[in-house]
Amino acid sequence: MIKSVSQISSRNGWSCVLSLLIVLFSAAAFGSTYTIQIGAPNGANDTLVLQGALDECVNYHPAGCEIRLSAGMYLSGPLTTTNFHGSIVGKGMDATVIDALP
Amino acid sequence: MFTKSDIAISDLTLRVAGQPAGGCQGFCVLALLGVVGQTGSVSATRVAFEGEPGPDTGFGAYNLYGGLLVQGNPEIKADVQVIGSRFKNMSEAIRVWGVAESRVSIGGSPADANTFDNHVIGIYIPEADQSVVNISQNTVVNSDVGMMIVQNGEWDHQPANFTIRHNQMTVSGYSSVFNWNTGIVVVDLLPANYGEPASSFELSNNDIRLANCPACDTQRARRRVLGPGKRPMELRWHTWSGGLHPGLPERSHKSSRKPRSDCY
Repeated sequence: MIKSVSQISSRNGWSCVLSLLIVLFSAAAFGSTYTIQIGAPNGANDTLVLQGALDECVNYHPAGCEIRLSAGMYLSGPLTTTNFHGSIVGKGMDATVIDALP
Repeated sequence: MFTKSDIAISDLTLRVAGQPAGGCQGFCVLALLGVVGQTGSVSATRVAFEGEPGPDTGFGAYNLYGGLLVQGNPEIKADVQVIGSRFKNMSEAIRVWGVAESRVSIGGSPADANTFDNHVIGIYIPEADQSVVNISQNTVVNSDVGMMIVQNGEWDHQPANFTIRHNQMTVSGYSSVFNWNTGIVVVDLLPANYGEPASSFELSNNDIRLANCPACDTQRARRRVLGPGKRPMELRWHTWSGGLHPGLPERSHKSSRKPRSDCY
C-alpha cells in the first residue's frame, strides 16, 4: 500500500479519514508494510516533510513502514524519532541525497 | 537520531556539505545516522555517508564527526549491518559503542565491501559484550587508524567474538590524535582488569600499508596491540603485506595464524 505525502496534504475532512481507514485496513489485512512515497525535494528545506513521514510511521504504522524517497537532493535539519520500525529507501546512492543542514 | 528503533536505509546518500559562514565549533554535525537506546537495529545497504574537510586538525578536521553511530545507554542490544556502502571525510566513519548480545557485520563477502576514505578512525568498536562481530572485505584509505577495537569491560565483562578478514588499509599522514598511524588496533582489558576470559580475535589476510609519508616513523606504522594498561607493543603475529615505507622493498609475510593469547 503506497501513499503519497502530497495526496495526504491535499485532502481534508472525512475523505482523508476514510482513505486512512482504508489504508490501515488494507495493510492489516494483507500484513504488508505500509509505504509512504515522498515527493521530490522542495529545494529549500525538507525537514518537515521527512520528519512528518517518520512521525506517521511511528504513530500509525508501528509494525512496519517504508519511506520511499524520490531522486534529488533533500535539505534537512536534524531528524529524531523513537520506536521507528521500518526502512528508508532512495533511488540510488548517487540519485537520492539527504543533505544535512549544518 | 533514532531511539529504540529498527531501521534499514538503502540506496541513498547522507551528507553534510559546507559549513556556516562562521564555521562550526569542533564539528557541525555529530552523526549522519544515529541509533541509541537499549534496543534496536540498523542496516545500511548501498549508502554513502559524506562530510567535508574542515579547517582544524585531528578529530575537528571535518565538518562531520561520525557517519554511523550506534550507542547504548549504557548497553544496547542491536544488530548492525553495513554493506556496499562508502564513507568519506569524517572523524569516525562507524562507531558501535556498547552493543550487547548482538551481531555486528561490517562488510562480509566481496560483494558486500565497504569503502572508507579520510578518517581519524575508520571503524571504532569500543565495548562489545557477548557479541559476534565480523569486519571483512573493507577498504580504508587516507586514514590515521583503519579500525580500533577496545574491550574495556566498562559495562559488562563478557567476551565477544571478532572476525577481521580480508580488509585493506592504507594509513597515511601522521595522526595528530594518536601520534601514530595504525592499521588495526585491538585492546582487550577483560583478563587483566576483571579476570575474565579474553575475547576471541581472528585476524587473517588483512593488507595494511603505509601510504606515501616520508616523515612518518616506520615503526609507528606497524600494527599494534595495546597491552593491559601498558604502552603499545608490537604484535608478533603479523598478517602483513606491503611496503613499510616508501622506498623499502615489498614485504610479504602473509599469515593466517591466530593471535597469541598473551598478546591481548
